[in-house]
Amino acid sequence: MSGRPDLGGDAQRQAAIAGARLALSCLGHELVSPLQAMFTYLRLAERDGGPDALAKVRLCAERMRGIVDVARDFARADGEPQAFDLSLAAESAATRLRDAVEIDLALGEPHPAAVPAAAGAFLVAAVLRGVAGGAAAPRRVPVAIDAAPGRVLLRVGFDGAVDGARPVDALAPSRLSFDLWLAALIAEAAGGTLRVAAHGDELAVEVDLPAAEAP
Amino acid sequence: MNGSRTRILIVDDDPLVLESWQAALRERYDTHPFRNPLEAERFVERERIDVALIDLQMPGRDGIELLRNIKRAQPDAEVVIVTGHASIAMAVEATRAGALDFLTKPVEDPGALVLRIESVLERRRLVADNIALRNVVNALGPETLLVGDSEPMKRLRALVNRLADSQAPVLIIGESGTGKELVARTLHASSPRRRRPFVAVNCAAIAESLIDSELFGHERGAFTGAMTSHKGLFEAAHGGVLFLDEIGDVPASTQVRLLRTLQEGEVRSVGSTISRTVDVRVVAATNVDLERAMDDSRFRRDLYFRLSTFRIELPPLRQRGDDVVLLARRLLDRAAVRAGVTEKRLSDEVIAVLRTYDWPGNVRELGNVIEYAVTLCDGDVIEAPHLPANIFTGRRASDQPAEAGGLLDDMVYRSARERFERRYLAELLRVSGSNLSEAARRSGVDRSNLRRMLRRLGVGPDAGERGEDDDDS
Repeated sequence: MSGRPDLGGDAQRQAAIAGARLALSCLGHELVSPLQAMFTYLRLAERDGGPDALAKVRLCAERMRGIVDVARDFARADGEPQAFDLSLAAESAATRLRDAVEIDLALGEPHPAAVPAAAGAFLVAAVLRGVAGGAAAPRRVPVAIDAAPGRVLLRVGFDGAVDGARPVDALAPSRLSFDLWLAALIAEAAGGTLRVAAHGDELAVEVDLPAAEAP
Repeated sequence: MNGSRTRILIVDDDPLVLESWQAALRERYDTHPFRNPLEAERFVERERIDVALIDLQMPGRDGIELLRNIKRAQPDAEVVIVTGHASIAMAVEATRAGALDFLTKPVEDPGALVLRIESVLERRRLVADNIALRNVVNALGPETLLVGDSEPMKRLRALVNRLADSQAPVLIIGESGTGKELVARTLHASSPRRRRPFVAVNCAAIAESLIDSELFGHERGAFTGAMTSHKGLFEAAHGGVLFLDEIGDVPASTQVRLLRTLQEGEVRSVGSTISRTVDVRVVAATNVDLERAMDDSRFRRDLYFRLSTFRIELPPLRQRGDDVVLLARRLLDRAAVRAGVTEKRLSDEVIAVLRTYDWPGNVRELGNVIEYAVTLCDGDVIEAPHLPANIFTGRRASDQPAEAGGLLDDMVYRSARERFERRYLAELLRVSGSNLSEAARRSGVDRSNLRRMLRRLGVGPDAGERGEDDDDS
């Protein structure tokens, strides 16, 4: 027995290869930045010595480990759709990020979405990470979860300098950070969407997911 | 308007990369890091950069788009692309958009980055050197060198040397043809700015409606016909010297802009709301009476004081004694080379004529006279008949009113008399065809006495001897 998945027809096989190529390319791009910084700091440490450059090398290594963890979590974010409350995932992600940025949660009533639990948790954490750690470097991140008929909406806003982002609809990795791109893939797999939308001068990442049917 | 270190813009959305490159480069360069490409664009619109290192793929902004905007704002800035996603197609696109170099991450040794930057800067330096060498060649050419042993020229050279290292504006005042641009070029060639551009502009030669655009540049659509944006001469002279000739002819509205530019060290192009810093030393020149222009409200007094931090007054050629002979010989060598003819020398008679003429057009007129003579002279010696007629019939110092200089330039009676005698004898020889007997007859002076006078005053002794021989033959 081979461990390889059955890919079906040729078109499906080609699509799967293209998807894998894109995913690996994005992962490579994500890893190359801390790797670049690590090489630079290593040279500086060799040239000048001192603990500062070595501390930076460690920081780079931790960043690479974080990316590897994200890649692993994404690989595990599979399973059957189930009723998943995004609020819990948002609270958990906000707790981890609060040291770096102010996060305002406006969660209201629970509105469960129809996604695999691991995928839902990954999606919410990735969106918050993507916004808080993005080039816009916001000082405050408002997070809201609302319901619409048959839908659950997660909205994560940019507060502060928002010039680093602009409205994006397509799932183009070059337009989104690694975290947001992976979150967009999860949303799409669940029958939803992720986009960066403009509201006046403000931008927000908006995720639209199918609501779980009431029990 | 002070000079600065090489300014490097670094744009990468990853803070780790940004910080690490800054750490590697800041010892050598003035670094300006940006995570946000739009903020980087705004920076480039208001601040000058030399080299930009930009990531190609950043969320929110395509690196190629950023590259194009940088080149649009600062065409002289060099851009190096550093990307984690390299492909031939991308490299081609980036090169077409104006990138000079293309590196793929990870760059293992930041030294390689420094080498690339140095290579880019070296290219810029070579271009600047080329311009500077051309300036030096022009400045040191025989027709433009600050030639002369006279006291006014010694004082001038000392003053130019003293002012060369200063960054302050200089106002050069002198009659037409005295070499105002040459002095400006010499100031530039002797200064720390000699490797950067020397840009000369004759303000009187530019239409009033265009002078603002020429000096300060304009944005696309700033006025009818402005199809593209245009960099002004202030920016073209960045790091070097801008020579504003005929400054007295600058219109009033431009005087206001000039004053602001000199005060702020910034230029704002026509149609733009953004000012850009420029590092330019301004050297202005005029042959008009700016004091009178200020009294008549044709020239701003505040601009005058700003421009004339240092004043250099150039002596007219008629006050430079025997410099005229030195200059004539230099110009003769130059003209002979240019005409592709053998070396020539000046006859004593010609030297005497050159000494006695008043030179209202100064060195420029002398250059024209020498060119004229070289064209007419087939032999090795320039003789009096090779000179243009106006040299003999034109204005003389003795014809001028005393307040205009000339007659009383030599306040000592003896030197004034000798000056007159030289002119008289040179003219006498010319009309006598260098025949001493004929000259004696015309002048009513005994031939022996005339020959002694010619020897004493150094006027055409050979011609005198020839005249005597001719008589004897």
